Amino acid sequence: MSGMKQTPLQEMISKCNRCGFCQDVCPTYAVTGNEFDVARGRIRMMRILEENGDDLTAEKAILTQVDQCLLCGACVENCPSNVPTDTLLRLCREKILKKKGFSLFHSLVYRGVLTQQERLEKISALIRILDKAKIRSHVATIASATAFSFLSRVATYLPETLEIPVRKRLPRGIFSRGTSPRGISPGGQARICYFMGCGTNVFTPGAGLATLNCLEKLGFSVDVPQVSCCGGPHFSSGDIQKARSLARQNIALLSQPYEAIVSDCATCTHTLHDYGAFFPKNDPIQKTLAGLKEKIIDINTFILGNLKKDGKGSMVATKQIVTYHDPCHAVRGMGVRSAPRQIIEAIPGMCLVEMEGADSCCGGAGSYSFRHPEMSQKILNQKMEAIEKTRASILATSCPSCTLQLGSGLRAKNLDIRVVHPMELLAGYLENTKKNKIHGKNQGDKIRWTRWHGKD
Amino acid sequence: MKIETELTRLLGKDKVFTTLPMREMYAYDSSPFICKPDIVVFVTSTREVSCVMKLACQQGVPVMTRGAGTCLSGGAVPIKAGISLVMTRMNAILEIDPFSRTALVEPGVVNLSLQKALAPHGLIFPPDPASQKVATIGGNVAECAGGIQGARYGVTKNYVLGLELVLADGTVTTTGLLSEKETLGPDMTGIFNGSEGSLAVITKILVSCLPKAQSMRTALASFSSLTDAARAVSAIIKRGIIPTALELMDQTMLRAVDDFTKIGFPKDAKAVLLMEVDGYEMDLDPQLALMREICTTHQAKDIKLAVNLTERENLWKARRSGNGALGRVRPAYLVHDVTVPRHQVAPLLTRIQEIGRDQGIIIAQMAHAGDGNAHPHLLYYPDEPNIQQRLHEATEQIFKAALELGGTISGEHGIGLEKKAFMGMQFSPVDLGFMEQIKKVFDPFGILNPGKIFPTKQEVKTLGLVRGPGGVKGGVKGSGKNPGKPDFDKSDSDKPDDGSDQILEFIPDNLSLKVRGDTPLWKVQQTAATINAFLPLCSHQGNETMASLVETGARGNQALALGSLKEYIYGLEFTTRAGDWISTGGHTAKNVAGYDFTRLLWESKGVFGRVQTLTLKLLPCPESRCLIVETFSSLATCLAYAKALFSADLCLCTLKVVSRHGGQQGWQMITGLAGSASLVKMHTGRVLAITPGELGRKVMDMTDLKSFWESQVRDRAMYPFPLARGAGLRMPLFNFLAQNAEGFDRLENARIEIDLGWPEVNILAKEMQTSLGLEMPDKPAGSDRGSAREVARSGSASGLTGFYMQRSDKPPEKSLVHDKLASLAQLLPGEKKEENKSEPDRQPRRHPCPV
Repeated sequence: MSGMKQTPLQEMISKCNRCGFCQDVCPTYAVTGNEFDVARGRIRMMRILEENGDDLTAEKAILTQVDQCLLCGACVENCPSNVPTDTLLRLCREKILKKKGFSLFHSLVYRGVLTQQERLEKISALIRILDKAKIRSHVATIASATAFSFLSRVATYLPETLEIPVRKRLPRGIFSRGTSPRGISPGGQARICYFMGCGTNVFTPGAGLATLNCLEKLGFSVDVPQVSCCGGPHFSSGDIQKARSLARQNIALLSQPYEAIVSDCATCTHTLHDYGAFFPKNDPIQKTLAGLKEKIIDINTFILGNLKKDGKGSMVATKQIVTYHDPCHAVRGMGVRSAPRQIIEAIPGMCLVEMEGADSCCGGAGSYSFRHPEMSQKILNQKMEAIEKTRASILATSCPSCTLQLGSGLRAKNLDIRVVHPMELLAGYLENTKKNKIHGKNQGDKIRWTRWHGKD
Repeated sequence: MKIETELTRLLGKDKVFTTLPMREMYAYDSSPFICKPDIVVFVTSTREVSCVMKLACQQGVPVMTRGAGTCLSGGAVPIKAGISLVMTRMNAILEIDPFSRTALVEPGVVNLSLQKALAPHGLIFPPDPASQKVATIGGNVAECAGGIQGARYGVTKNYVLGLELVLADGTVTTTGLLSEKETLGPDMTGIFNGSEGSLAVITKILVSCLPKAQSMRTALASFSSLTDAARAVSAIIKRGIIPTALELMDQTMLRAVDDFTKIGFPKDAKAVLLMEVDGYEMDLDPQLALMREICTTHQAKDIKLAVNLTERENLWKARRSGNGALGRVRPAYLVHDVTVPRHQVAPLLTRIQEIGRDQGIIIAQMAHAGDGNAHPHLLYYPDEPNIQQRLHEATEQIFKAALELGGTISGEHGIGLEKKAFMGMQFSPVDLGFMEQIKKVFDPFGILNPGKIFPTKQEVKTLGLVRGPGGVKGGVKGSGKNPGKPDFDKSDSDKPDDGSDQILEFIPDNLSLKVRGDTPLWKVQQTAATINAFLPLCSHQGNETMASLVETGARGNQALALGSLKEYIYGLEFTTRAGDWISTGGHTAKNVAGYDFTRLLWESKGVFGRVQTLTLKLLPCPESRCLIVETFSSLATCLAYAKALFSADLCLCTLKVVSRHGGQQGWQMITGLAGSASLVKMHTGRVLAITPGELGRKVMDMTDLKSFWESQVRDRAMYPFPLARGAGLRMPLFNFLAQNAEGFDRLENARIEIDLGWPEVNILAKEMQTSLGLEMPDKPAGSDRGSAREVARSGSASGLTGFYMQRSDKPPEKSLVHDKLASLAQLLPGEKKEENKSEPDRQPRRHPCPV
């Protein structure tokens, strides 16, 4: 064995033997057919940067290239040589950020708004006021002429009517504050923590409420701590400093004797699950994280594990076609593939039809759709075509970011398809059926109706 | 004006890039070579390609065509900079014609996308390189890609029917069935297969497809020695089984793969054979049983059958993840694709093992053993001491070993940059000179993918031993002049030749036969019959020599299932008029080293020289054959039933319609079936159920076949005047015939032969007739689209493919490619002075295989 004098980064890069198999799965390559927009090209660029020193600022195109990756992870999953392209790009972004400082967008959105849920809620309130006065589009037009042009894209990206955030609709006192969550679960039921991410809270409150409903109907008492942003957006944009501080806040909140920590947001779930990657391997926090990691469960997987299906599903005459889009963070981040599908298929009256490329990225990727609207739109168009082919009337997905992106696509195409979280479908069924075909496992055949603890 | 400015003006800003990052992105392919182009140009249409080529030609800028960039030999690395012409945006599937079993595609279509588009029609495009998920069809053609199914289905060149090309000066031209001008003349498509983008830019490709096999069986046999496994391979071939895949992996490979896939290969196995057969359900189990028996006699320890789809997928996953899994042993590898005749697989693999040991390099072996294609993976750490030197030496030794065993240095990866220095080991300076002549004719300024394939004087490596006539005999050649073998043209008159030395090399384990060009067909068939094999030409006695059959482009009456003779030429040697002895190919099933002359000589009518020797691929005889001859009163009824037969899933090998004395005395439909006895019996029943045999029906078994075909030959001899001939695709042919059915019915004193399988139409008469009563083009072909063409074209959705019928008294117009090749013929030494002499042997011969 010879001595390797490569840096860890170089070692990862050198694993790429340029077979080009990433072309098959890369969403950006599918759109442009350009080597510039595929893992192989991005890795080549990083190799040049590594070998020629760190003169990152020389070419603007390089910044675009590094930023234009969705971090969907499809290439990593399909790489015969196991090159961790997503990790490499994150490290590269970290370097660039260190060197070039924050962009206006970053300081405003990532550092400004996303760090505190209250700020996002205020923005939501503002938009609702604008909507009431029917001037959202006007404001957007004005914004498009300024340095804040991305705001105009945000305006069209958000749903036409923005609902009141989940937190505002829950009974007062439900949130546990600080590090000691209030609330004692009645009847010694499993104590579940629901991690409500910013996206669910503000942009898809329906999904959040539905998740709480499902958990409740299955007999769980739920704790809803007042968490910060999971830090996922900061981590993937290279702002490791902020990502860590957000993670530390959340870790402190979540280090309770919960049996499971669930979130209906695929990004949050994956980020929490992946907190270990935020910190150096020798950081003392890793010990805490090891215990935390196994409690973090994807919502679909968790619910499915606690459902008991009757032998016979009731036949419902009118079946609704549902198709499911896999969020990258769920399918590749957490390896969740079958759970949401099984849930949908378990609901009588729902017929699951697979779309082509269900697990390819929708082009949402958080703020990607504002930062690279053109590319994002093209990727979305391909997704829309696949969805349209299924003739579905319901599109299910488990991530607020995907929900927003897909929703905007469906609106633009005038397609009469509803975007929902599988939990919304399940909650709707549980709500409407008196004698459920689906029971909670832990109560045997009986169904106990328990509210989450705050409302007792 | 600077070329990039001009290009930007012509193509637009979003298609032309000169920035450093973009150039870096197009500086590599899947090989270790890297070199930046000056300009990256994306094209979306033939017109744009033509614009680029015109400009590049004017300014002498090198152009390298690039698809997905998955070449393993550096073919897509622009070593002389210039323009990198990216075809990925030309990715439309223009037409799929399920009835003709063809697809017309642009070069940027990804292989797997085509497979997906074909699947609903029950068709496959057989070439399936490991990179099929990303590799483009254009790249497949340029490199003549092989694949895992190569043992049974061959390589890309067997499936290319026609091309649209942009030549170096920007002229657009077409070849093969995409060309109206040359469907009736020599097929020029072949020379571009495997030309590595050095002759022209391919802009459209017409490929033929196959119906997806009904069923398949997959099995894994493990052996306690590599040699046993390799010997089992040639034993299987010798027994007349042509498996879809016969993949061999050695212990190093196995361990890496098993570590990764956890499939649980036997730990102590030194080698495994992954075997797959496909076809009709009822045929598979007997084949598998036979393979199992052969493996057992070769000391296989364990034979496992994949019982369901998941198990099959797991086995294939293990095979396909080979490359990636090797990263667990060493981070870097170098892979070769040397190919040998199948009976030499065992010695080759043993020799490669020894070379690895000598050079201290771990070599993991995997091989498409079914076609003799070895893939030794040389594993190393990039910073090992003097590793490059050792790799180079190992490479040279491996190439030498393959050549000594009668093989080739490249079976499917191409020469590119990686192997060009070794070209001199495989080819004589004269062979290389001839290739360079071809290159010069098509690309006089050397702007198309320069710096590839041909070694420079400093680079070239030679070997003491080179291939000469009669196989690798060692040290025969060097000058490239005719080395002592009598030129049979002259020797015929000198002394009587008893033909005893016509069969030069007969390798039953490889199902290959090397013969002299003057060998008559019957002798070839006789020799093949000794091992129960045959060459798919006529089964009756043929006195035509093999050379003349090649030069006139012969096909047999089973062309529907088996194609024409050109698919059965592994290699050939020919002499130019100056006496230069040029050789191409060998006994290997795959060979992409240098240009493919086997296709150049095909239907060449002696323009380039005389075929001296031929190495032929033989096929195992089917267990049973059956011929059903039915008579119908009109062509229209006949066609309706023929269409029904095509649509039924039958083991058809022949489907012809023949009329004597014109259609007035009725039409004979000849339906041939071939396969295992039980299959033929079953399908004969099905055929009889489909067609009623309006005016009579006769079912013939194998004993009657010979006399039937002989009677057809005799009958044909009564109609010496060819009146018209047509060729094209099946669907347009049916349309053309339907439009003209009544006209055909009324034709008198003529013999009309319609091969619906090939497809082809011939009208012969007892005397010259001026009127045919058919809607034929009234102008020479090519000058205008005559009415018949318009009619025929209506069958094609894109209007780009069709069926062309033409009167024989109007000479076919030559296409641009023909002009180029004609100029090549003139460039050859000794050719010029004989240019205007009329020579009897240069006259187009009568079609030697009439039925």
